[in-house]
Amino acid sequence: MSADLLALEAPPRRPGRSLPGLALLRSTHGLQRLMLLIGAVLVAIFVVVALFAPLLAPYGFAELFSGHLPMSAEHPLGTTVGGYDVLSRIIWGARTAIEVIALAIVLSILIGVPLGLVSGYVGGPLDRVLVLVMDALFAFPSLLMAIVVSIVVAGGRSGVLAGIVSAAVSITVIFIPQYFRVVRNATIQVKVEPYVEAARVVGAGPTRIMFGHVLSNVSQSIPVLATLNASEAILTLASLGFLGFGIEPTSAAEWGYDLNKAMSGVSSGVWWTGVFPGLAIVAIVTGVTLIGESLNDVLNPLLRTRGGASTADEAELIEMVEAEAEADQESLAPVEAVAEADRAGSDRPPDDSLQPGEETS
Amino acid sequence: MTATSPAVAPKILLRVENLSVSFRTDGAPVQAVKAISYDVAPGETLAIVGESGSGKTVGCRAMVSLLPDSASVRGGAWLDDQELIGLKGEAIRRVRGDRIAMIFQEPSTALDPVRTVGWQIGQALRVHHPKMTWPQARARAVELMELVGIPDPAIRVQSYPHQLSGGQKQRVMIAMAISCDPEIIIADEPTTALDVTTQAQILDLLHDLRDRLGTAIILITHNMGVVADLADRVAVMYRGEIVEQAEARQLFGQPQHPYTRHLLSSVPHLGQPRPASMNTAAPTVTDRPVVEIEDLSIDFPGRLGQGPVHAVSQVSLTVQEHEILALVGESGSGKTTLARCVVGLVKPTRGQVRVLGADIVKAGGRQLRQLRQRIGFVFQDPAASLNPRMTVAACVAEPMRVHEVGTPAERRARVEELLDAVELPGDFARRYPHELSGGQRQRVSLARALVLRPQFLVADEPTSALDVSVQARVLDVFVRLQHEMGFACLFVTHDLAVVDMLADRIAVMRQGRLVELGDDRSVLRHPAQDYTRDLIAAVPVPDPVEQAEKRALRRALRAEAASLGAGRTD
Repeated sequence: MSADLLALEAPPRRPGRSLPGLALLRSTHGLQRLMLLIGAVLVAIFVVVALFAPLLAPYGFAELFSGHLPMSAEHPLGTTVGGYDVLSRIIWGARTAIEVIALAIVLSILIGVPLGLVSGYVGGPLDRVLVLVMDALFAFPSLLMAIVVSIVVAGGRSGVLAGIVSAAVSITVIFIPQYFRVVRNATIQVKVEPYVEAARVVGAGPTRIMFGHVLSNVSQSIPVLATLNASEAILTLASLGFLGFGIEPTSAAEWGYDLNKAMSGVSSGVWWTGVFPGLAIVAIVTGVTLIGESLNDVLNPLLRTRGGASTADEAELIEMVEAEAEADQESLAPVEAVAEADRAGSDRPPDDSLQPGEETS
Repeated sequence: MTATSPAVAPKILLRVENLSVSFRTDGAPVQAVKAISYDVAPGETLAIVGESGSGKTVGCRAMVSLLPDSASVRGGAWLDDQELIGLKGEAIRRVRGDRIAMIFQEPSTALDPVRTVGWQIGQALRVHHPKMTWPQARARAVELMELVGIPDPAIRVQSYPHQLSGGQKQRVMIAMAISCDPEIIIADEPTTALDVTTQAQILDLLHDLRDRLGTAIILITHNMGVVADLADRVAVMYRGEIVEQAEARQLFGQPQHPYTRHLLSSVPHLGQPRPASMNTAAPTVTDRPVVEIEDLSIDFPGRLGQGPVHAVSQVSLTVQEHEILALVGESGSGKTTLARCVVGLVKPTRGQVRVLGADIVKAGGRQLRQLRQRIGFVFQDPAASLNPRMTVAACVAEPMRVHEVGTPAERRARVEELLDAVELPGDFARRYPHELSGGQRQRVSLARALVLRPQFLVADEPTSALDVSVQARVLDVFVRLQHEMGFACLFVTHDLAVVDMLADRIAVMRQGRLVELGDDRSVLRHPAQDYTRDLIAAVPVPDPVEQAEKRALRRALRAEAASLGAGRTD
């Protein structure tokens, strides 16, 4: 009997937890899925280009040729005023862009998330001071902030590592308040949930509660924020380079710097030095933004239609009703034989009401 | 007994035929209601009962076009000769309120908080009687409020919803519903959000209105006691279908469908012997106290300009080893605050709480952690008290990990053992809480509370978020485990019928004070205090015959009380 019950308890499992990307794609529809796919393809192209830059680029990013050469077989996208090969600069530039984005996002998550978690969970004076500081950072114009930080970190411009790190740090400073705010507000909501209280009753300490229970429940908005920030990071990096606070052209290729140098050529009809780096920026920003927006739609439960929330409840109910019906039949069996004979004679309608319960078994 | 022994010929007021409702979702469409048919005669009360999610509310809302856009409705519903399904705009607005009125479950959210109740009733009137002036509407609102039994209606008409009690708000909702003399009132769980004594008064009112106004009522509920009290006929819904329809007495006497039988056998019945499944050998209660509460008071800071709120005042009680002490009271009685104080979640203002020999108020740091290792806590809502991001196994093993008990292998074994003890299959360990049903989740919650073999367990309304049919099984498991493991338990609940099934002793609380304390039998069968007596009398029993007697008795008691001039208003 009990073995039967176990078998009847239909396990309502969700399909495949194995590949998160696939599960994500499966939960999207129509336009949303198209957005996600286009975004993913664009970003994938840039990642591949960045990874294999040494193989793909015809020349090094700092190799010099004569300036302002138009497009030719030797220089598919021409050369810049300074004499760099445009195609090579774009390919190497993808590498710089992705390095800076990754570093900036990792840094800002590593700092912003724990700060927000502690501030929200502990509350009190600590929370008030942190919120004040973050609000002040938030209120500062972000580009101005990035310029100030890059001057402080690297004296304005410098070599490979220092250049990338200073760009990443200046972007990080802008993003920390965003992660801080999102995580802190979510923490304040989550910390009064009964499951956090349950952890307290169990005897768990504050660190365990914060990182074991609260963090996993406030982290769902971080991927969305990270992708949306990634596109902002590229723009900030390009702006820094454009304004001359970015990375030296001899240290690494950087699209913003190239755009800046292309300005002088525009009036004399040299368009290829500006258009192609610009297109690269537009393409990667579009790709990352598309992923971010569709992630937002998919991961935000408020924007998602609910689907069969009560399946497990139903399964349990069916099981119990069937057990009841079974028990009835066992107890009724001897009586039923007698009743059958009676029923044949009488005009009482046959007992239909048992049918639905039986059908479901 | 009721006005429904009709002098009129059995006429049909509302006819529903093959009504189906389905919802579009991201996946396949969900069929919420599958071809239901029923009739309602004038002045009749039809109860629609069923599990949450069985489609009982959706089916009724379809008739007044109150479903979201994702719903598609097929089939027909006729009020007299008017087809209701497919009515739009002005046509359906003329039906709503005027011919079919609705009463909602939660009166505090169904009323607009920034308008006076008089304005809201007046508005309902003026929508359907455009010629009515505001003074007329207001005068009628006062009349209606008097009709539904709100004291001082001429003054209360100016009140805002937050100034009224829950029962009074529901009375206002009823006043709005009857304002245009509707032919049918759809009452969707009208008493679920209310306390038992308030529930009894609202049921009295509905009885009274039906007798005086002859309005037909469609009563949607899951409370079989309420059904027994009010319904003439009952339709049982199960998974979107009506599986059984019968006169109330017949349905309670000879239920036909297995679901109905299961439902009726699961309903705890105040005053009946405990079910056989709970009669396992209980450990003997000893004189060793596990919890000693002495002169405990807990105050919360009041709003600006107001004094503190006394949530608990001067309560003294003890819980003995191996004993289940039930703490009973209505909302606001301080029972949950007391329970939370016992486990150290709330600091008391005055008094002493000794748990397992240690003072939990003064205990700090290490001592408190050690104490918590020996105390279990089961929360009210299992959906909220299990971390949604942790698997069942991780949830159950959490106390062991926190207190660094056992090796990973031992923990796994213990989790398996406990899942088995709460009658869940072992493969549930890998699932997440949202994949489980409410009852299964609460059993996981119980397993977590018991994983460290506590000597003392606090259960805060562990079954009130569950459907009755599921509640029975959770209680079964609970009692069996208590008998096997012998932990002492403070069982907080508002449901006297549940208390009757499992408690050794009962403590009744009211407005923060301990009103009565005694063993199960004496408190429930021979209550010493008036309040306890009121409380017991207010619980509707799931048996129409018995409930009719009870109602008559209550009426007599009330008449007696009124003649003594001690009539209590709510």
